[in-house]
Amino acid sequence: MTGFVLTTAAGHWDPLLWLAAFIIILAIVYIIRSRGYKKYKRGTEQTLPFFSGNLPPVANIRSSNMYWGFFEAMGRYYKWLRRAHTGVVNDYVYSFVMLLVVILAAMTLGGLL
Amino acid sequence: MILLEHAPALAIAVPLLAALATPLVSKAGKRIRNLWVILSLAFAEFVVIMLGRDVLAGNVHVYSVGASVPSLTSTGGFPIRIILVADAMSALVSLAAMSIALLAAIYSWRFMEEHHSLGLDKFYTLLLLLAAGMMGLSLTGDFFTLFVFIEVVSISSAGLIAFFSSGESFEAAFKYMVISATGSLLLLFGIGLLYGKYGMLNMAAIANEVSMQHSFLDIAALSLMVSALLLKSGSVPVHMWKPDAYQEAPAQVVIMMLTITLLSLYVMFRICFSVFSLVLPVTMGWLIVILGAMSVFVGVTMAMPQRNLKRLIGYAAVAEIGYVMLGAGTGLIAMPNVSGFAMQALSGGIFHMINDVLDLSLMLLAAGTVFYITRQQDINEVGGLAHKSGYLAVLFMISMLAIAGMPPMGGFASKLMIYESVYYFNPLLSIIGILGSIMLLAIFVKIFASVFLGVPYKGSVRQVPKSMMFAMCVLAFFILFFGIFPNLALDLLITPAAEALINPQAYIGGVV
Amino acid sequence: MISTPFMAVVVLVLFGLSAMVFKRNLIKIVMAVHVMGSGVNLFLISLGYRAGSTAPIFTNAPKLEMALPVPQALTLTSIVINIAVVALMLTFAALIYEHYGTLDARKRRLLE
Repeated sequence: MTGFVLTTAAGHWDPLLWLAAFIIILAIVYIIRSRGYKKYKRGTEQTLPFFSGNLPPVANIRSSNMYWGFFEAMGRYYKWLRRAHTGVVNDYVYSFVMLLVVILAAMTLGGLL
Repeated sequence: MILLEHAPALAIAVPLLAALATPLVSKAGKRIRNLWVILSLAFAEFVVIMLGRDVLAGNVHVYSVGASVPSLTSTGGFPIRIILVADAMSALVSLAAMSIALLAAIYSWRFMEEHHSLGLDKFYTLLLLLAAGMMGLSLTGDFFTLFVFIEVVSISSAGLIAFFSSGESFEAAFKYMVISATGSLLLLFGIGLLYGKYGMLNMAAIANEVSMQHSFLDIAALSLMVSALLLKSGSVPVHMWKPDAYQEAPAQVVIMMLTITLLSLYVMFRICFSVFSLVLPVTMGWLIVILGAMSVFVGVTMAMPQRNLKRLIGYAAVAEIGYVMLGAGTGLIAMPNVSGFAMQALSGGIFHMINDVLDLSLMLLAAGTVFYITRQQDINEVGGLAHKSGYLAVLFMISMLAIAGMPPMGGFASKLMIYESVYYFNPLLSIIGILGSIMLLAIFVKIFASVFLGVPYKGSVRQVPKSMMFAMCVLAFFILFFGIFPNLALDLLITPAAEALINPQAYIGGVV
Repeated sequence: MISTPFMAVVVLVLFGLSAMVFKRNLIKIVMAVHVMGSGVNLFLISLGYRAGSTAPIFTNAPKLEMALPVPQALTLTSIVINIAVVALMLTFAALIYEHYGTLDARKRRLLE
């Protein structure tokens, strides 16, 4: 059986070494975590996460609000992109005809050169 | 033995005959019908595995339909019958397609039970027809069989998209059928052009002839066929049917449509690499690479604001097609002497095809399971499902990491090969690929956090049935297997396939 | 000059494609697909014609120059496939009308 190393043209990738490193790091994290403060009682308020004095949230954060900064920064690109995706079947055929024309033109010019 | 000799024909015929017999069998009861479907697909899978083992031992397996001896291809000096060809690349994609069909049938045992008022025997008939069409598409050896099986696949998938009979699914099926019919008609136009020039329809025979004569008719036929196949595979700018179709179809039909996407890419590579290999201008490779990079970018950025889970996965599928086109297009630029970086790019592209099918199928089956247990499609509504079903969260996380290309899943190995070799050709395209991967991870983290973590869902949550869990675990096992032992997959499966693609003489010599 | 069947093919295919891009009614889009299919069928048939030839049937043949039979088989297959495709699309159009009350393609329902 050959070794478990993937030899790409520019280097190596050994998944077993990666797994070994991952397990060692997990073990280190576990050891560090288990040296915590042992006096808190489980199940009471002492083990809840700390929200700086506020109440814990009861409402789910809507997932569509998650990447607001990204959408604002690329606003002009998104306006153009949403206008291109209309959902009308005529535009689907139109973009197919455009693709066909582009490929035909590029292949004719490329074949002649 | 007789099973091996007739293997290509059996792989197409068994699902086809089972499909036509399903309405009769389903009169005998639900359980017998489900068993009939799964057993016929399992038998076809067994035939395909045996065919694959024979092909990987080193010979191109040809089968002429209706001859006295199955390997008698040419009687008068040129091939005259319908010839099914299986070399290493065909065997690989047909194995992947058949396994996905079998897993879809196992998954739909419990998933479709509550929809029995819509006529489940018709559903299973169309599912088996779709499996037969996929087999024909991967084993075809001439152009007209290609056209017939593309139409079989389009018509069956259009019927299956509209299965849930809501107004939106009819609209999605109508749009899919119109654009699919347009693409197939222009494909037939291109095939007619080739027939008018060479007088033959067999792929290997045309590959033999095309090296001598080269004119504008060749270029026109190639452009028509490539753009029709790009339409079927859903790359930018003709990707817009994909989100609509993936949103409305049942989850197990979507994984089969995903495989059809990859099969049309396989057919395009067969035409570019094996048929037009020596006379192909470099422009075609650059076109495919540029369209691939655009697919990655547009697919990922359009997937971010989506709210419907399956529609988002449809846009992610557009992005994954872009990766395959990036890898294989780089290999196409370097034809006919492919070595070093170009060979790695081609192998990476083919490996990514297999990984893509596995990862996206697992995520789609998990999304279907979420829909089954909560009856909600909008990701804003559900939440906190990790408390109710921890195994589903783990499977979803495996597929999420695999699509984004994180170690130790299989997606990382193939993406690493694609990034390195495309960087060698043009750094900008590779950077777009890497950015696309990072944004894919961002999208799926958002989905995972809102569906599985957070405040628990207030409605009723059902149990995940065992058959669905079994299908998903098989896929997760293969993702992890290809991730931890990528060398095994490369040596056994991918490198023979890549070598078969770049060597048109072996393909021609096997048939003519 | 290009002979007449091929000019008719070009006219039919361009007609079908432009009707698919510009017409709103779903039934007209289906008709455009059928017209384009007829154009491609005409192309396939006229590929096999040789000047001064007759039907490719051996029994009681008047002369031995015959048109090619393979494109005729391809055209028959294509006609049958087109019938199935058009029937399926008309069914979907009828069901869309039943659910939504309109046949306008521009009134999109699936957003984004």
